[in-house]
Amino acid sequence: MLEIIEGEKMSKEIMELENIIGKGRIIQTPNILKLYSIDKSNFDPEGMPIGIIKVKNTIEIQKIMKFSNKNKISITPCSSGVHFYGRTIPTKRSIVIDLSEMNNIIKIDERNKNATIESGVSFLQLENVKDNGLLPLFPLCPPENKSVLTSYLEREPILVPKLEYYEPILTMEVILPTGEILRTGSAAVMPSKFAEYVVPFGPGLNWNQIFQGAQGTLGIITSATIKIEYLPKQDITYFITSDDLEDLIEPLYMIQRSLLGYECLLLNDLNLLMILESNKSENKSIRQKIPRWILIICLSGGDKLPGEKIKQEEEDLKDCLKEFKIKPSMTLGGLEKRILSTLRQAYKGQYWKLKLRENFQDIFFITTLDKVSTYVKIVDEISSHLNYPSDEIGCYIQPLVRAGACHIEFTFFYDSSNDKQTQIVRNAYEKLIKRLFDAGAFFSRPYGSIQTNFTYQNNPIYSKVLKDIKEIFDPNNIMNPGKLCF
Amino acid sequence: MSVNHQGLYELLKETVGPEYISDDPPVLEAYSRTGWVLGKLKKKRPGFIILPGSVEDVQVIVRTANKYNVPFIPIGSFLHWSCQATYPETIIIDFKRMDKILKIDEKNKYALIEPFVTYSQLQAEGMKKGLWLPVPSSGGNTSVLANHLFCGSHFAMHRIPYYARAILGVEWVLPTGEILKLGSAAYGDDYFWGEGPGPDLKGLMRGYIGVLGGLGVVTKMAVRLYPWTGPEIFPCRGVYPEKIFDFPKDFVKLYLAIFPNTEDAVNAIYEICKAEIGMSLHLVSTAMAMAPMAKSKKEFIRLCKGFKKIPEFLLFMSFRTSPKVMAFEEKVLQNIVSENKGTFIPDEMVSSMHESIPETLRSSVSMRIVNPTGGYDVFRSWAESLDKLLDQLKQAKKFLIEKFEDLIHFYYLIPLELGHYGHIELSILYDPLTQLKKALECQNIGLKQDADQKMYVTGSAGPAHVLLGPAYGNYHLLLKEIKKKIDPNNVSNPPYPIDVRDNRG
Repeated sequence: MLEIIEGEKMSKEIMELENIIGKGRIIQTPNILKLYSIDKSNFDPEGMPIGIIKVKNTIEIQKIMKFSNKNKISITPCSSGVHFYGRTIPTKRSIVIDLSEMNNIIKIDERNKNATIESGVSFLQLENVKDNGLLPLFPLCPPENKSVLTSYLEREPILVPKLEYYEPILTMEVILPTGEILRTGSAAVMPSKFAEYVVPFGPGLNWNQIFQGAQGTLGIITSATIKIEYLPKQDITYFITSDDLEDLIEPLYMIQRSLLGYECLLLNDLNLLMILESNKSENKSIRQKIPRWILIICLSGGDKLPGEKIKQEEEDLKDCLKEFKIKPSMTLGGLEKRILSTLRQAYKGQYWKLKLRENFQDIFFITTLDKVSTYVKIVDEISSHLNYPSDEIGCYIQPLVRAGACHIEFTFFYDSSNDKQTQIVRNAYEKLIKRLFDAGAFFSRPYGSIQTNFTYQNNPIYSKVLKDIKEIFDPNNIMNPGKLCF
Repeated sequence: MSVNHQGLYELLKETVGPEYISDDPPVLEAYSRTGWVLGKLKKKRPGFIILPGSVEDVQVIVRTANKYNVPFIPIGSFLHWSCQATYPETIIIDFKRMDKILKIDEKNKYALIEPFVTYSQLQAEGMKKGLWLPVPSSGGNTSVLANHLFCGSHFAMHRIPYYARAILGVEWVLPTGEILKLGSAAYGDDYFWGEGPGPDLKGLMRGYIGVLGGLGVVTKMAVRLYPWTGPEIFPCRGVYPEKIFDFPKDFVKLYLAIFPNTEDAVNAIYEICKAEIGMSLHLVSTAMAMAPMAKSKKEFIRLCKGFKKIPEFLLFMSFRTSPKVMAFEEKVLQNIVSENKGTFIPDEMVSSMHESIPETLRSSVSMRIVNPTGGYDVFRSWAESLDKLLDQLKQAKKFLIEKFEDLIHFYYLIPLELGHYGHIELSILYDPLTQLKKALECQNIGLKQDADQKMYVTGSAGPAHVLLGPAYGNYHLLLKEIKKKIDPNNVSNPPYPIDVRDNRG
């Protein structure tokens, strides 16, 4: 048990809060506070919390929220053991509510393809549903200790662009800043013998949508029922590669329009190798053998006639690629065998984006596939101009909703101990946000002050309505203040 | 600030011009009740009918309404009774002039539309570009925008998500007259994406159903379209109810199966969802299946008698994305039906269904459902897991048979998003001349039972929120706060989405 350091001066409020939740529950050890004051890739300043509480259950959170609301103490929630976008760095002196120990998988419902989990459940834990013949909806190789709910709440894209799998959260339990509980969708009727709490809409409004992308500014989500899929019985992975990204765009549109496949994504060579290889020197030699852009498409078959399903999809895939004179390949320089298994699990060990350098900075946004080449050119040009090598930019393109749109993500790598590198990446980041914004990039989940300023200053009415809603849920602005436009 | 009727008329006339405003009694009378039979009970004349031509017109109308504390109602197809005036001097905003498809993005599969674009109109234009969207049960003449906001239930929800999921960028005139843009439209003119930035304010537009014009007026919306491999021109001939649909045989294929009991049928649905096959999948009661086939009341009764020993059918529709897909789907379906003790109905026994069902692709079957008695309403509508829906259905059927046996009832159950959850509607058919009050009583009792037994109701609106709220964690209190904040003068179609006050007498 971590003890409060002897002699540490606690405010009256902190002492009162400790009386409510129990002695020794508020961690104020400086080196632990420091861990929560920073994350791995953000240019916003550090923010030291005044205490950390590793909460155990909903009732405890309600008590903390009621007390904090009454005393106007800021709260910053966090669930994952790893953070990259500044979302959990306190902007004001806050208490961090750490939900990582609320990590129970409450229920797995194989028949209805869902699981009910607490906020601290990580992808590493959830991938155990494979033992039940199920498969979680994975984003691209998430860190093993990443909270599943945080990922879904932040709308991280998942690898399967089928319409039916979009929006993986079905229902949620939310603790509002007043300490009251809001259950979304059909969980509102809880407890009921007539419900399994799986309907995402309502009651009244779509509360799920309001809380998504809120970065912990409206309340604390303690648990949710999420979609899970069946683990395919058979799979075949195909690759379509080119040094020119433009060559892959029309085939990708066609594949998705033909409703083919399961996982489908586009990576550049650097990202692919960082995901698959552990050795930097090995990377260099393999990199020379594979083209710059790799489109991965997985064909899968379920319980019923899986072989026939895959055969039918293979033939349709080849048919739809004929007009482009493309033959998809089942090999990729020896890397092919590890790809699908890697995509269908949490990323083990050192996170792949931290293999090249100590830190990284992502820039991601939503666009359409026909515009991605333009954005890649902009990023290459500006990076080169600022002396950042373009072959050290990771790129990931995820078609969404059958290629109705896509998520595009650029990753820059640097060592924070190297001032020059840090400055180059910082400059590139700042210039690119503005340039990409001007070119039409849609930052649907803006992180950090630069992105949020661009986003909300350019849309004062959207900001005003957000603030109105915030005031209803959080009249004293205790939830993660300083984030978004709050 | 106050103004008399004539003063308000003059102000509104200045905005749209004299030809696009009316307070003529016969015109007002035409807008006094909607097409829904139950709407007859709250028939009331509005004060003005106004036809804006642009978003700027809408802003002025809304600001004027705010200034003089006069309610306004934005209407789409004028079907639901929430489009009817509740208060005197109500301004009905009719969008007949704003009926343009502004864009169809073939590659990225979406359309940007104005409020009066109908499903038939958009579907016809989309099909020319290899795209489509299913028509809701309210019919092809329904406004796409209004229906996406209000309901969006359609026959292909097994594969194509409920339209609550299909709203992309939006232009929205708030009750104060300010313009809010959502999604990628938030800072630009590109409407391809609907979420964000940050918290998704689309969540304010609707829950399972919409807020019924109670939080402002949506003037532009992008909606998702879906790949279409059928003919460019919808192949039909003849006049309703003798309309014939000539789809190529290898494009759409309909299967009907029966099972020894409802449990087996639901098990088969779970398996079909697991196998991810088919475009449309329903479990329909026999009366529901017969209604679209019947061209008259007499024929409806004859058909129902013919199948009286069969309580329900599993109805599965396959669309061609490729000939190989259709062949594979048929094989898997046969396998599943057989494993769950089901039997296929030979095509010749239900030939008229094969003829009429393609109508669901374009104009829906709503007219045919009303045919048998002239009155139709949804008695109960829930969403939950398919197993729980089955429990609810059993209980509600028992109640109907015991208490309202003279009202014909039918139901359908449909899995959504490949069976992650499902939706059921249990409807009643009644004679509007003699059974209207009874139908209303039946519906009100049903809603109360849902609240008492904590069943999850999909169609809650207005007074229903107040009834259900305490049983559903008091969400209605938050809803009230939101209405007050977004519509501070309570002018946007009060009392929707929820009644906050009554200061108009």
